[in-house]
Amino acid sequence: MFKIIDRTLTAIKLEEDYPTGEMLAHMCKLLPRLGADYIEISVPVLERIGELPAEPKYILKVDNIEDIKRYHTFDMYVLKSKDKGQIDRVIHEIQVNDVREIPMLSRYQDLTNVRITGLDELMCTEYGPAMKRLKETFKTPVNLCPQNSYCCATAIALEWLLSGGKSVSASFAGIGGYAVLEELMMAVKVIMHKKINVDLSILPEATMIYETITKRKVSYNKAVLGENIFAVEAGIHADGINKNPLTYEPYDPKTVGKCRRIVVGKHSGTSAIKIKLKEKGAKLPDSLIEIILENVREESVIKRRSLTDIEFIRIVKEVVRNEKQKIYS
Amino acid sequence: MKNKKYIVDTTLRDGEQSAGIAFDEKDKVKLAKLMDEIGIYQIEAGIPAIGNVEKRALLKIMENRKNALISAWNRMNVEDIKHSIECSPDIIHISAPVSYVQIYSKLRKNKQWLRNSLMECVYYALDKGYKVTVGFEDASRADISFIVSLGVMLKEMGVSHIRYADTVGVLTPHNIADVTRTIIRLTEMDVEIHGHNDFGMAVANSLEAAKNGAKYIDCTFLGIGERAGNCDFIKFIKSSDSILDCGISKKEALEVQKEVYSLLKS
Repeated sequence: MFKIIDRTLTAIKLEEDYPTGEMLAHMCKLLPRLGADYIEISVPVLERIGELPAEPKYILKVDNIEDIKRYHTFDMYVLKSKDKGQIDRVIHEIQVNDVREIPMLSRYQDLTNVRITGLDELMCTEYGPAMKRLKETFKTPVNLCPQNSYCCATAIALEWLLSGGKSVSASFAGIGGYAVLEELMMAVKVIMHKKINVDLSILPEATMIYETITKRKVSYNKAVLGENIFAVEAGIHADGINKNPLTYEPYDPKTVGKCRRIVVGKHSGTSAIKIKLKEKGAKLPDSLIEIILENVREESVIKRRSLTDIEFIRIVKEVVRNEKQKIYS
Repeated sequence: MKNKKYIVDTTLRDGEQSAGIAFDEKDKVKLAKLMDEIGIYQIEAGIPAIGNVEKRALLKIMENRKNALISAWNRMNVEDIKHSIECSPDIIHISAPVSYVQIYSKLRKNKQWLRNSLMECVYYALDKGYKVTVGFEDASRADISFIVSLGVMLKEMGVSHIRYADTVGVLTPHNIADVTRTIIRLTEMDVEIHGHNDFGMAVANSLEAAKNGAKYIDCTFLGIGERAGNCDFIKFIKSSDSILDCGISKKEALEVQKEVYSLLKS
């Protein structure tokens, strides 16, 4: 099995966002449940939190050897250093920005713990042989920390694991420009079919604390996290999901603490109208459903969005009232 | 020399299809014009079967069009295609669900029924003189031999190219590389890749498909689309710039993105 080092806490800008120690400690408690085997923290984060929550395993990111001596109780440290040095509990972080630099890493082959950070453009190259070369360069498993300026970090991290890599670094929501922890864990679970000891149903809680810390709202359609990712409007999708959710959902929304939601609008079909009516405890003849659908589509185009439940109910009431008037007039 | 690739923009179809978004006729016409101006190869402009608002938009888009090819999206039924024909698009795109879960759970039919219905629809559109492309919906969860057999049949019928849709975003780069090469080799058809971002890999998957022979890449501005969206146009252009020639200026594409953003926010 592989190990995940989480870099969320070192990527948070303490001087800009002013998170409290309690918030950071809360995140420390959640990250292992999301799949992080080690939580990387920095000295400022350590000082902000004070006493670290006991359960997670921590790695301290330091700027020099003196810091290691000062904070000597950690099992592992991360240091940007290519010198072997005297301390064997150091992960040597080496920045590699260009794939063509990989052969030159043989200079550091004697290092025992290495993290390679960067390689953003790996997906634009023959990444398979590059990854193989990287693994063969060092005697011990390499931790890969792909960066995301080419929007491929999660894919690179996953390909690293699929090709036998033993360790990757990632961060919650990809903060800091790294592979995205929750995307990676869901891909491992759903695509690699690995049984992993994670509880991703706490993602809404983690998202809330992340948004509080960073003062940034997670995008409505962000993979795995977005609040809208299980909202369905399109006719064929609503119909398919009603028959079997697997038709248009890659995994059960509950896995990530969410629920599916049918909304009605321009792209709805009669199935979505029937499902929505059923949700509200109503059943109407097909002739009325067609009229409701027409009205829903028209109003959605005028409003340039899906309709709210209140707007939908109003349309239904209007259509039913008009129909009654026709019958009794 | 960079490989030449062609962007198929589906902001006005799959992008708009995501819950919460609805463009009106004016929005669609405006965005299609901007997309045409920056050199996008093909604009998937909408679904005429939705109704008159959509048909009017497509007709106006066709009237304004200078260079881009305009396509209309259709479910696999002749009635949908008749609606599209009213708009006289350049391309009739027919979507065929090909995975078992789609065929047996959603359509409640079988593979033979699917093959026959697809043939009927393709024949109908070709017979009316249209260029036809076929999208294999949920192809990433389908049997590759079924896809190849349909591809061979479609090539014989005269279909222009086939779209491989990773409808629920479950592909990885190495998978998509394999399937792209396999389909091209066994069908001798051009392939269009349609990625979704459920695991945050739509850009990487599209890039890998393009590297392995896919000629057409589907994108949406701001990555809008069902669930976690589609392959983000700007991100794809930026990430592929060193190896692919999509014939689009990033600066101009960013201006279109700003317009899409402003319409979505208004």
